[in-house]
Amino acid sequence: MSTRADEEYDYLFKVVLIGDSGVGKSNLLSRFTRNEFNLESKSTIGVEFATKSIQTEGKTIKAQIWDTAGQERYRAITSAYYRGAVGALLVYDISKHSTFENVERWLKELRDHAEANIVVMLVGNKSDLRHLRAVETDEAMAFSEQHNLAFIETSALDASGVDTAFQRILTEIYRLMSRRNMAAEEGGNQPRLTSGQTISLSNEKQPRKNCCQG
Amino acid sequence: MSQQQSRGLPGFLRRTFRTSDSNISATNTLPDEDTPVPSVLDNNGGENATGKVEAPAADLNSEKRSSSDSRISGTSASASNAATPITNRAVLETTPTSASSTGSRKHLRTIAFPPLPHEMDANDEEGEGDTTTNNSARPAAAAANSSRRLLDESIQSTTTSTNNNPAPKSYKEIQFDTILASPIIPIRDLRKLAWNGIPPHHRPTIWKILLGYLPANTSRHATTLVRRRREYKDAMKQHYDIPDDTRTNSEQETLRQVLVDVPRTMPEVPLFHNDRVRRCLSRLLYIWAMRHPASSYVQGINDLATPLIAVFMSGYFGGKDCLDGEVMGDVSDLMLEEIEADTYWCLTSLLSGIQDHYTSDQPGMQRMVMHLEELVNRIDADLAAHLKSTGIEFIQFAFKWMNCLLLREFRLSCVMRLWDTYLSEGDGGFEDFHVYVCASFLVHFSNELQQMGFDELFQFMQNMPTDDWGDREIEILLSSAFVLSTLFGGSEAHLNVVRH
Ligand SMILES: Nc1nc2c(ncn2[C@@H]2O[C@H](COP(=O)(O)OP(=O)(O)O)[C@@H](O)[C@H]2O)c(=O)[nH]1
Ligand SMILES: [Mg+2]
Repeated sequence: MSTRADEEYDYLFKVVLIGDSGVGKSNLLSRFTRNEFNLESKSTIGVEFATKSIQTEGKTIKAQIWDTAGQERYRAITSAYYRGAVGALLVYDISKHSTFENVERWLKELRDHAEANIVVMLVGNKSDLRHLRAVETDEAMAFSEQHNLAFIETSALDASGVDTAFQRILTEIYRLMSRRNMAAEEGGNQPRLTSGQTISLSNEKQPRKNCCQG
Repeated sequence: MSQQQSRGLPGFLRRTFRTSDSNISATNTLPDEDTPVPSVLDNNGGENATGKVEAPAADLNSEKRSSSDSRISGTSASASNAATPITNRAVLETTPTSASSTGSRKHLRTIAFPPLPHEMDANDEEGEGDTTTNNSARPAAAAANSSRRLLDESIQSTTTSTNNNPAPKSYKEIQFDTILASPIIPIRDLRKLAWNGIPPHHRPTIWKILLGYLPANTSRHATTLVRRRREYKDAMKQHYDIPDDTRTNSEQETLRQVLVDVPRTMPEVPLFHNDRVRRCLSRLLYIWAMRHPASSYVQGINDLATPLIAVFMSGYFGGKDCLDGEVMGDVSDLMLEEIEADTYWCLTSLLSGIQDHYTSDQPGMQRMVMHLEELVNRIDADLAAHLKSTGIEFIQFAFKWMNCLLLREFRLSCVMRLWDTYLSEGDGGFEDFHVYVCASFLVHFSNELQQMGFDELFQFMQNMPTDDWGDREIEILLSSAFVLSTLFGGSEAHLNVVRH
């Protein structure tokens, strides 16, 4: 399998999008990876993903961002969805309070299915809908501090905050990992990543040194 | 299998067969006789009256086979003459038929014919009501003792079909007209015919019949429609036209989900931008959810209602394609009410056959994905091995194919053609046969897929390149799925494989 030069990267991180259906997960993904927004996008069925590489602290990080339906029914694919994810963007819609109320439920879902040390960022999307705002920034901020989550407001529609959100979560994952790696090196024979966490989740591409075995 | 027999198959299947188990011969497993499984439409709270019709055994394989071939060679299947003696009925061709309107159906119904043998059978067994969805258009199992004969016949019909002698274009239409003019519609004949595609103006009525919504007995059509539409109105009063604060939390949640999804249903089709159509869709989805609490509304069911709405609407306009939404100015509220009710009942019937696809944990979906994986392992080992090596899981890409029955993969007009065949397949159409279609679909892209790594594969399959597909491509897909299903079809078929 061929790997083009522009696909070279130092790290591959899997990040999942979660949150109620209709909050704008798929549009955040298309805005970030393709700079596209679609007012009439179809509901997501099953799982999808897109990738994009970013630079942070001199490293190239390839983000593999997974998107799925918000409906609870789709358990059949849940475990594969969370497997190996190192980050999660938990999205709600600032114009629909119920989607914010459900954030707790999504946190529980993460506790049940994702790795314990997954990095979670709370994302209040549709910030362009100022006149319809139903969730105050302060309220969400307080909630995120209380639960030790990063927090940002975005608009997939006007693009504000979207790049920042992804950049921040990827950087944070990277820092956390390098810290862990250092600790691991100091600690001796431990594996490069703790708690069995794999960074490359697709079995496909490894960091560039051994990318061409396929 | 021999070179010769594989010649009539689409190219991608021919290639595939080389990698398949060489002990299995396509011709030996050609199904022989209809073995109707007496099953009844699921009776959801009395929503479906049930009845069953045992169809007489008939030999339709040679016809099916030749018509599969004809899709490739471009000639029409004439072998069906043998199965449906229509000579004395061809007079009917001059009768203007617009089976989609009840009025003309009444008119046709007054023309009496001596019933054909299968019609009499159908008549005998006609139950109280409505339905005859049991008989597959094609048999499920092969009977070993006559497979030899079939083999000969299928070879014969293959040769005749290459004998470029195209019947007049209206030939197929005449057959449809004839069947629909019968006082008791011979369902099995109808399935056979409809398997190869239904002319647009007949589609609304035939879908309703094949879904068991309209009974085989055409004299009951009008009263059935009146009754069912009234029942739907009652359901609407009970579930929909109530104050929101009388709904439970979970009912409100369901309604919210429906209302989130309706505006993003088929956004590429202007008809579904229409507010009146959206209101219909919201209502019928919500009412369906209320009446089927074991699954309730599941995302993707909204997609499944769209072909029904579009087809039933076209029935009011002589089969005209309504997808651009331009007819909406001519669609009265009464028409729309009827379309909504008919769609509701037909969706109910369709979903009752695949109910566990949408219940908790979606076992039906998982079963189909597993079946697909097994099939691909057998028919295209190279592709299967490649997919495995990339680490992609079938559930990751095929889930959507199962959940939305390929509605996300093809444009709506192609889906209509696809469903002609699914509905003609009988009970297994949307389940078993669908899996064969998915397998053919995947294998169709085998070469390309084998060049791709995980990322590329996944993204390719998120958005399969079918923009330029039309009925022809769908028909090739269907005929190869048919061949696969005879090769690898159900457990019974396996037992009946004759090896030489
Ligand atoms: N105004 C506004 N609408 C948005 C925004 N993001 C998404 N939407 C709309 O919200 C609806 C649902 O978006 P989608 O991305 O499909 O949500 P998902 O179900 O979470 O994937 C669509 O109609 C989008 O156009 C946003 O930032 N602002
Ligand atoms: Mg989505």
